[in-house]
Amino acid sequence: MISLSMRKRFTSVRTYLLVALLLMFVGFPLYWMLMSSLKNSSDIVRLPPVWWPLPTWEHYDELFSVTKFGRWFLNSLIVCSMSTVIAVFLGVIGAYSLVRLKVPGKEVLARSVLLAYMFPGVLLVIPLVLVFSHLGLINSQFGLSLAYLTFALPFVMWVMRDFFGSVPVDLEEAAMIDGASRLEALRDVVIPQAYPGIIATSIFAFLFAWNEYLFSAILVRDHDLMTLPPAMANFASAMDTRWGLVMAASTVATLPMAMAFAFLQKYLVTGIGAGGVKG
Amino acid sequence: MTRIYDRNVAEPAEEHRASPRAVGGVGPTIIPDRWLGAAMLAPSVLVFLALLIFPLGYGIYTSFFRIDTLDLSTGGTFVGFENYLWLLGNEQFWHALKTSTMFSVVVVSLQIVLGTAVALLLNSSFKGRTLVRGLILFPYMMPVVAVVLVWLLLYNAIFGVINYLIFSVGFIPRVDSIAWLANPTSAFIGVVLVAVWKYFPFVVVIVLARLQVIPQDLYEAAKIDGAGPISRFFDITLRELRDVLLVVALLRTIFIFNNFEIVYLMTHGGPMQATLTLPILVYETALDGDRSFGRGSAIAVVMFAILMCVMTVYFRFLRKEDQK
Repeated sequence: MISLSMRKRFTSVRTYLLVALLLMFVGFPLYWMLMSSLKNSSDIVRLPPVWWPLPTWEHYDELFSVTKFGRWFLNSLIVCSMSTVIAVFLGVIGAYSLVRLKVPGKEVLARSVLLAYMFPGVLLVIPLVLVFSHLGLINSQFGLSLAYLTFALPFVMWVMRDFFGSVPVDLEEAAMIDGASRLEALRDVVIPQAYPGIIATSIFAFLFAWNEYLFSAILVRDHDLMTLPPAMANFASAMDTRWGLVMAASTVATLPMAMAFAFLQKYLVTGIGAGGVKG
Repeated sequence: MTRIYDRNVAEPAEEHRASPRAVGGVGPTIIPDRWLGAAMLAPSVLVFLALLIFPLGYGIYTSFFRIDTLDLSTGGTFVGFENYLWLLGNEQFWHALKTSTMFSVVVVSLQIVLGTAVALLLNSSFKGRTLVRGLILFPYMMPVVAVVLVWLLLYNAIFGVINYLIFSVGFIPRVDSIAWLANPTSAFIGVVLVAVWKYFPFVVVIVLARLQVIPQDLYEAAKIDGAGPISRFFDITLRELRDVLLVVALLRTIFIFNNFEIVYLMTHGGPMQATLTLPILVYETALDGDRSFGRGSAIAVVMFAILMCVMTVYFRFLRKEDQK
């Protein structure tokens, strides 16, 4: 006979074992990335593997002093910030209008936002290359950030539309009754209320752009204007055996994500739920 | 930002509250400023038109032209359906269509199974649950390029950890027995594994959210009726999850079918085209090598048609949900 408390304990041991297994599956590649970036070059290729190396910073040193990594990092920051700012500004006022104002055909529009959001980049990239080359937007950071609007803007609109829909209308109504114009009410009442949502959405839009590879690889060919993802991809194929350097680059490129992570804890689930279609 | 109306926010005067309804004769959310609404939407609509609708139309238009780098300025020559005929007779296209389909089916099925299993695990109570729920999202948020680079290192045939582990357990005679990405079958498996690793957290999030709203009394009632844990799982949990799993499967299929980056960065479609998917074929046809924009567009248009079919199913499903 197994008593109830024993069975309960058995269940909980099993749960913890499974959780440990899950964390290993998810975490090991991350652990390995970090460890490899801290190994000296001979430890990286050693067998049996060095699980816990004596850390060296040589790859990080080289990354920032010899390669143009700092430059590419900055380029990524510039492009992603530009597209995020534009997408959030346009998306927030657009979403507000979709939720609160009477605009003809807004149902169709709301649905096209979703459609636009699900639209895969690989189907857009050929016409964008052709159009951008006519407009002189190839090798332009502004051009690339425009291309990023194709996913960032629908994303922001879609999430903010949900968000505004769930915010009670009373406060802004009261403000307008007391003489505020609609735009004033938006600026002073609605947006401050929506701040947490707007910030979370911005961070997600930024991360999607930060992680994007295809548009960036195609639309920006100039070595000095490149963003991180294609630069790192080149980097790896050009430096076949420099794994320490490549892992250091991967670690640094993952940092903004890790920082956002700490910051976003609360919103992660909502953001992914709404945004997970792409990415 | 202290304005006069801020002070009155909590208790708007009664006579004021009634006025918009009296004037407009409609509910409180409808305000007469439809011009403002249009003006606020206009920039976004403009962006959609310029960056999505126009390129889409232009892509379809291009698929009827022979156009490469040299005739970028002239716009190429009109060739009618030639690109589509080329496509139908092209063995590579059919191969890529098959590979894409297989890849999507395998990756999405594994993601759904693993994602649901993990969601069930994370739905049971244990210490540190919130933290674990956050941690498993890491792969999903990580840059694709970084993910691919780490896995390339793990898969390395000579000093990769994966081979070392399999060797230690005794499944392979020598540490370097499996050249993961150089062999068609193992390369396909390798890419599938990475795609599952990176994207299964999405399924976890969605399924977990749904699990949390399953009414507990369903389980209690089933227990009283004498249903065991297995029949409870099939009769209650799976049935409750069915709709959400269907939507997730659909969304993930759309996404994986059109995903270029993971596969391309890992294998470039090789070895021997074992991982050549449609997005990679588009890339290779139009943007790499011979740069036939017309032919590449024709492939993209076919992909778009497939996408629209799946989307129609999705929207029909959503509408049915709304009616419930």
